[in-house]
Amino acid sequence: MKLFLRLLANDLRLLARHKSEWATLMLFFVTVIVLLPFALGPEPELLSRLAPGLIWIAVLLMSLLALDRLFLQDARDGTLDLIRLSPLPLPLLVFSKVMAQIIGMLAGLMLMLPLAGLLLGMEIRQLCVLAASLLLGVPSLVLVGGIVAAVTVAVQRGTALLTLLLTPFYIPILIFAVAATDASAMGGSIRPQLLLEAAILCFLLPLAPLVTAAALKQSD
Amino acid sequence: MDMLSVQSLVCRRNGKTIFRDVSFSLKGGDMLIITGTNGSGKTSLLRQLAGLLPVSAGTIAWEGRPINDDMSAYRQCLQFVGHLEAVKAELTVRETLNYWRLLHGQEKPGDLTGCLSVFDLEGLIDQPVRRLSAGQKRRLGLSRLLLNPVPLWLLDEPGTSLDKDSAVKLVDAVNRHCANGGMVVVVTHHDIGLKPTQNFQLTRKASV
Repeated sequence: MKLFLRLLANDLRLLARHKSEWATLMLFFVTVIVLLPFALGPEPELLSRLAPGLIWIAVLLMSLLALDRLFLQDARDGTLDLIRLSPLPLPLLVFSKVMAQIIGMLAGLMLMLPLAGLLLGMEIRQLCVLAASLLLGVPSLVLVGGIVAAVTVAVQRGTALLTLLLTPFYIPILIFAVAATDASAMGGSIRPQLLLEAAILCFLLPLAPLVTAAALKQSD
Repeated sequence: MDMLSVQSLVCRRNGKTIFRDVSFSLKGGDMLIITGTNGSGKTSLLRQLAGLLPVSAGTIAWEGRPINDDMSAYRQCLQFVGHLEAVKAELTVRETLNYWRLLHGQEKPGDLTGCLSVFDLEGLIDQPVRRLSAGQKRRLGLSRLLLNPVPLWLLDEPGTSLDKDSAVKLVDAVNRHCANGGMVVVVTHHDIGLKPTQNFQLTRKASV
C-alpha cells in the first residue's frame, strides 16, 4: 500500500509538472463551452436545458486529447521499458498511472465546472447533479481510455485509432451520465442513473488495469 | 555454473526471421559483446534477453530455469539500459533516481551518493533533467546500473554521446562489476575499450 502511494505521488508529480499540457486541456474545454452559445443562439432556456449534455461532450473530447498521451510519452522516452521491466506487478503500476490521470482530470474539471455552468446559465442544483455524474463517470472514461491507449501504443498507431476504438465505449457512460441530469431536470430521482454509473465504475476498476497491463506487454 | 544460457534463440518479427541459432552462455564474471551490422537484430536480441520481446523459438534460461517461469524474480536480477535514456525532462536527477529505485521495488529513497559518484553526477543532483546535455543524460541513464546491486547488466550502445573521460568511467564500472562476479552483455559497434571474455557476431541468416 505504501509502495502504491509512493508510485501515485510520483505519477501525480509528473502530471503536475506538465503545466502547459493541462492549461491546453482546460482551455480547450472552456473554449468549447464559450463557443456553444454562439452556435446555438443566446436563449437561456435552451442553453440551460442542453448544458449537461454539452458539457459532457466537451469532457469526452478533452479526454480523447488527454488519454492519447497516457502511455505515448512513456513509450517515446523509454520509461515504458522500465515500467515493463519492473519486478513490481504491471497492473499496479498501470493503476497508479491511471489513478493519477483521474485525479488530475477531476480536479481540473471541478475547477472549471462553475465557470462552465455560469456561461451556460445552469442552476446550482443541476450543476451539483452534473458534478456527481462527472465524479462517477470520468474515472470510467479514463479506465477504458487506458486500455485503448495501451493498445494503440502496442500497435504503434496514433490518435485516429484511439478515437475510433474509444467512441463505442464512451456511449454507455455518456447515456447514463446525461440521463441522471435529465431526470433531475424533470424532477425525478437521479439515484438509479448514478447507481448505474457507479456499477460501470465498479466493474471497470479491478478489470481495466489488468487488461491495460496485458496490452502493454504486447508492445515491443 | 552457467547463470544465463541462451539456446538456439530465434527472432521473428512481422513474418521475417531476423536471426536464428543464437546460442551462448555466461557465468559470473563474464562479459559478452554482441556485434553485427545494422538491422542484424542486436537490439532485438538484447530486448529478448530482457524479456521485453517475445522469444520466437529457443530458450533463455536464468540459473537453469526458463526466464518465463518466474519473470518477476528474473527482473529483480537485471538492469537494462537501452538506447533511450528513460529520463523525464520534468524531474530532477534526484527524483529520477528515486523513481527508478521505486520501480525496482525499493520503497525508501536511500543514499544516492554511491551511484552518483561513479559517473560524476553529484553536482547535478538537483538539476532538472531538462537542463542536462545528451552526454549527461546518458550518464544518468547508466547510473541506474549502480542503483541496486544486480548480477546482470544489459547495455545497448552504452558509449553513445559519452566523452572520453566518461567512457573510461563506464569501462571501469563494467570491469569492476565483472570482477565482483557480475555479468554484462553489451551490444555495440563502437570500440570503447571493453575487454570482453566472449564475442558474438550476429549475421543475418537467410530469411524464410
